[in-house]
This record gives sequence, structure tokens and C-alpha cells, in this order.
Amino acid sequence: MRTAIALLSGGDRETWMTILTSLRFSFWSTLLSVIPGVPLGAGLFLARFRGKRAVVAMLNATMAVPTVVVGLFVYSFISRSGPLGGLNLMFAPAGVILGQTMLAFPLVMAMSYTGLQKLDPRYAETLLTLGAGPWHRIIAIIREGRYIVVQAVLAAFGRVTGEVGVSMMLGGNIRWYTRTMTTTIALDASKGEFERAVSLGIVLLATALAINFMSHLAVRNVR
Amino acid sequence: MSDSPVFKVSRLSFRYERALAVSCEALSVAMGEALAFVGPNGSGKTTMLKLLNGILGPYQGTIAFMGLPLAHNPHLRRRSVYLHQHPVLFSGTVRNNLEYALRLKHVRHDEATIRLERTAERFGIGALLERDASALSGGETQRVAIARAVAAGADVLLLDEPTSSLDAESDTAMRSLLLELRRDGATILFSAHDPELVHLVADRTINFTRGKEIHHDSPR
Amino acid sequence: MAACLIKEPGSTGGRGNPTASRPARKAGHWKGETMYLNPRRTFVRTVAICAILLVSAAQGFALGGKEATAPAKRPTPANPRLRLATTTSTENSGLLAYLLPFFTDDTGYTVDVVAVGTGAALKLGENADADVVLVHARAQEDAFMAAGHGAERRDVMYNDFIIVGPKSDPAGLSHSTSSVDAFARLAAGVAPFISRGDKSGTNTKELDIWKAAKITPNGSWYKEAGQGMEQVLMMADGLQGYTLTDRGTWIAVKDKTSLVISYEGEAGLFNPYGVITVAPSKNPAINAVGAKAFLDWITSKRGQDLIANYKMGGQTLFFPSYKP
Repeated sequence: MRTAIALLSGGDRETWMTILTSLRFSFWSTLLSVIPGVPLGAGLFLARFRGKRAVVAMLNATMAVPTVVVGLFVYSFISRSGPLGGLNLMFAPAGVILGQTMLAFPLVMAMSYTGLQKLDPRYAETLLTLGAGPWHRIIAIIREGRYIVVQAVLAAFGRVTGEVGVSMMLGGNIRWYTRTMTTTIALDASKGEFERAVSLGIVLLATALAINFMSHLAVRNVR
Repeated sequence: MSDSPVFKVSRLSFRYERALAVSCEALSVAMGEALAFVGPNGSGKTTMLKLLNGILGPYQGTIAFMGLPLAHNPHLRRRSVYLHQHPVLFSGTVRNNLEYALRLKHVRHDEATIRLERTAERFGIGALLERDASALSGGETQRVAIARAVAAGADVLLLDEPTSSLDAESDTAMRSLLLELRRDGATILFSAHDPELVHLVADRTINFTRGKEIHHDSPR
Repeated sequence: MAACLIKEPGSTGGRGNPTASRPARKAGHWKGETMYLNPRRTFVRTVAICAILLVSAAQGFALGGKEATAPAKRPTPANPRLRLATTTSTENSGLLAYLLPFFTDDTGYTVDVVAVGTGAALKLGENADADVVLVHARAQEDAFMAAGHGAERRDVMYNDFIIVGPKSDPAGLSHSTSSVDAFARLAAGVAPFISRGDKSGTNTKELDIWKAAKITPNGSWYKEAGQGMEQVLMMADGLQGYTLTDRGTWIAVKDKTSLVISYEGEAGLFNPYGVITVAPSKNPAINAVGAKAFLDWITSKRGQDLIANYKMGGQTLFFPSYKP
């Protein structure tokens, strides 16, 4: 346990590299999933069409897909022998970010959709009756429900930071390159080397707590 | 002016979570008419107003606005507005609210300024223009909400219980406002509990019953 | 179906009693509520700024990744990134971490090591997701070459397998005369035997010995783990059973277990490694030049000497075996 703290405070370069790599991947995949995910979730919330229930059900189902399955799915595309092979995404940060984005996107969209339902329905109705077009309404409802959106973003960030299936499969756990906190923990645990695993576990736990805390702040600020 | 009715409803039925919320065989509302919806709470008055404004659906049957079906009807949003019993204003000043409504209708800036001033004068909210919208009283909010709706050109107003939650003074003010709007040629549909208000403002009354069916009474 | 009711205002009882039956007014009045449309300085902005600052720092660090500066004399090949697929036990032995910096210094190639199971490593080669493969499963390597996936194969080195088990040696392996004999004793089922069960090089070797002993392992004593070598050793420790392991993993892990070496040293337990360059014709993205450079280097005198030089726990782990 003491070694674990020492690794963190002593600035062991490799340990810090994995932490920063994790954060870097999580940042990009969260960003790339939020940019389409939130407006689409809001749009789904505002839209009325036949088969909306089916779409919502499918969306909720995709959230439950295991990370390794997502990893496998993306692998089939970005492998060199796959259709997108020429982009050289496999075993590179871009590949991991792509896979994690695919993990986070349904989560962001579903949470935006569900969360916005808690809003006062008068908001959407007022915009509608005054003649706001779909794009206006989406932006306005996102602004009105911004705390819900923040929660969705934080949840997505938490999910991708803590996942290992996609990172392992698409990143290859390459030292200094695509090795993240979670893949390092998996590796160390498999070797029975627990010190570094514990120190990274501490960091992950701290990240999770920070996310939770910020989520609560967001809720508390709701009018 | 055209003789075609503002609203023409035929065989309308709307279900909310499997229960029948509204059912109406036929209804026709002429331009400039004032129609009151009366009935106990939960009898479908609000639902009917929302259906007519096209903010609720899907429904069975047809609703025509200005001769065109509700969907794909360019007149609808330009001319018809629904107001909640407790309307919601946008954050910012009252002026911001009017400006935003005008912007939504793509009114050009110079034209918008004129309209804003005119509307403020007409509705007597000139003094409120720079006030923060969240700091208004109930009556003021309602007045601003109507002003906001009309500023952008609406002349078919669907009002949900426009006086039910107002104090005496605001109530009186609202009544005069409604009469004024009528005089200016607006078509008004509103739900109300107060028979005096109904008598004062409405040409016709539609009764809604709890059975969610619009009830046919023997005509005089 | 009822029709919409139409009622003239007079029919509601006419003027009647204007003052009576006025419904009670709500006493107070309600305050306006507003919808948030104009964003001002918000909590969200603060969060966003913090996140951006945090991540910018991360980017800065991450960019200064592997090496601070390249030494002046290092050659710079056209495509300096090379991907090597190998097994987890090879990677975990630490050999590559020791060897590859020398390779990079000598040739300028940076090697990305992807460590998976033997089957997966060869599959990566087959899919052209790796440029060169380093594994220890001769039969599978030969099949790989026969199927045309590899351009060139060379022997590199060997380490050996050992059977480890509980200190008390309940199956009496210390008296074994050969690996086949040892396995026959294990089949008595006195203690559990943990198999890798994952088509790895170690697993392949284990199955070969069972075949040679003409035994089909069966029963509750035979446990197929489907996991890596280190985990299997932990399991064997936990269950106080036996397992077949490569010496390298054993040396790395042995201090964490209570197990001891039960049987070792027979030539039949040797574990030869092969390096295979993936056929460039598969995919233009393959770094064929780099792969060949690696193959040449690791079988050169320099590479082979370095392999022999690598020690773990004071013991030489790998024995160079390339004969030109």
C-alpha cells in the first residue's frame, strides 16, 4: 500500500503516463459522444413520430452491450483487413477513442432523453406554440436542461474512464502508447503485481468520486 | 374576408394513455368568434385547446386551421398561439421576451422594433419592458405572455383559464384586455370556470364532461 | 357519438344573478417563472474550463511520451513504427522491455508490442494487424507459414517449461523419470492440475505431453482455466495443485506463491520461439522493411548475445538458438 502511494507521489513516469493517457482518451471520447449525443437525445425528446417507442427501446438496449462486444464490433471495421483498415486506427489512440465514443454515445443520448423528461413540459410547449423551429427548440431545451446534460456528460466520462474491454481490444495495451489506467490494472492484476494496480485503483476511485461530487453539484443547482 | 372557418374539427378523438381524453364529432369556429370551454377539472378542456394548437397529438379525425390540415400548415404557427394557465417567460427582461418571440418569427430588426413598441403600448406593458421577467407578478406575467404572443402576429388565441389564478385587480384587467382583443378582431378560445367571464367574453360555449366526451345538450 | 355542444350565452340562465355564485378567488397571486434562454456565467462554464485545463495538461504530457530526445546517431527509417504481436508470457518475462531499446537505438524503429495469447497473436498476423510475430508454438507457426501468412520464419531462442506444484508433492512428481511419466502420475488425480486451456504455447506443449502419454485428462482434478500464465499460477497456488509453466513467468511470480518446482530439465520440456515476418503482400500498410529489420536484428550476433545476457532473478531465462 505504501508503495502504491509512493508510485503516485514520487512521480513514477510510467504510472503518470497511464493516468494521463486514460484522461486524454476519456476527454476525446466524451467530447465526441456529447456533440451528437446531446442534441440527438434532445431531438428525440421533442420529436413525435410513429415508432418512437421502438427507437427509445433500441437506444436503451444499446446501452447494455458489453464493452468487449463493442470492441469486437469496432475491431472488425478498423482492423487492417477490415473496411476502414487504411485509416490505421487499430492499436492506436484513435482506435481506442473511436471505440469508447461508441460506448459513450448511446449513454449520452439516452440520459439526455430521459433526463429532459423531468423538465417542466411547459417549456417545450411554449417554444412550440411560439413557432420555434426544431433547431431552436433543441438548443433552448438543452439550455434549460443544462444540468441534466452535465450529468449525462459526467456519466459518459465515468463509463469510458472505467472501461477495459474496448481499450484492451482496440488499443492493445501498448506501453507508453495506448496503455491506460484500466488496462494497466488488468495487466498488473494478471501478473500478481498489485502495488501499481492499487495506486492506479486509487486514482480511478478518486476520479469516480470527483465525478459523483460534480454530478451532485449539478443537481443541487437546479432551480 | 374569407368565410372559411378558423377551425374545423371533424370526428376528433384523442387518447391519452389508453383513456379517451377528448372526443368531438364536429366543431366549427369562425374568424373573430370567441368560444368558451367549460366543464369540471380534468374534462379535457386543456387537451382540446392544445390539440387545436397542434402541440398535442397524434389524434384520430381531422382538425383544419384556415382550411388546411394542422400539420404542414404555414398559417398555424404564424397566427395561432396557446397560453398556459401559468405561462412561462424566457429569462431576461420583458423586452428580451418580446424580441425573442419576434426573432422566432423571423421578423426583420427594424420592423421588430416598431412592433415591439406598438405591442407594449397596446398591452400597457411599457413600464415593464426593462423589468426582469422572473420578477413579475402573476397578472403581469400573463399580460406579457399575451403581448409576446400577439407581438409576432398571432390573432387566434387559445387561452387556458386566463383569469383563474389572478387576484381581483388583475382579473378585471384581464377581462378588459380580452374584450379589447375581441374588438380588434382576434379569435379567442378559452377555458374558464367563471360563468360571468364566459358570459362577458364568449359568443358560444362548449361543455366538456368528465366522461371526456363532449356532451350534447338539448339546444334552446 | 355525441356532437359538440353549442350553447348560446343566454341559455346558461341568462343574466340571472350576476353577483351571486362568483367562484372564490385565489387569495394571493403567483410569481412568474422563467425559462432559461440566455446563458450567463454558469456552473457549467466553470466545469468546462476546469476540464479543458486538465486535459490540456494531459495532452502536453502525453505528447512527450516515450522518449525525451532521440540520440544523435540513431538512424531514421522511412516508416519508424513497427508492430510486434507476441504472447503475454513473453512480454511479462521482461525480455522485450530489456531488448527493444537496444533495437531502437541500433535501427531507429519504435516497436509497439501487443501482447495477447498465441492464437490471437497469430491471428493479428493473419489479419495484417501486426507486422511481425514472436511466438512459441511450433505447430501453429508451421501452419501459419503453410497458409502463406508469413514471409519468413527463423528460430530465435528457447526457454523451458517446468512443472510446479505444492511443496508436499502429493503426486510424487519428484520421482518421475520423464515428463510423460510425470503427467501419468498427475492423471491419478491426487491433486488438481490447472491447464491454461487457451491454445497458448504452454497449453499446446501440455496437450502434446498428454498425447505422448496416451492420456486424455478428465475428471474434477483437471481444471481448464482459460487465463494467462500468471493467473493460472495463482490458481494453482490457491488450490494447491500443479501446473505447467514457462520458466520465465515462474521466476517472476514464484515469490508470490507457495509452490515449488516439481519436475524440470528434460529436453522434451524445451520451449522454442520463432519470429515470423508477416507476408507484405497481404496489405500495403504492413511495415515489411521494419519487420525484416527486426527479424534480422534479433537473429544477429548482437541480438542473440543480448538475449543470452538477459537475466531474471540471477538466472538466464532464454537461450539463443538461431543457426544461420
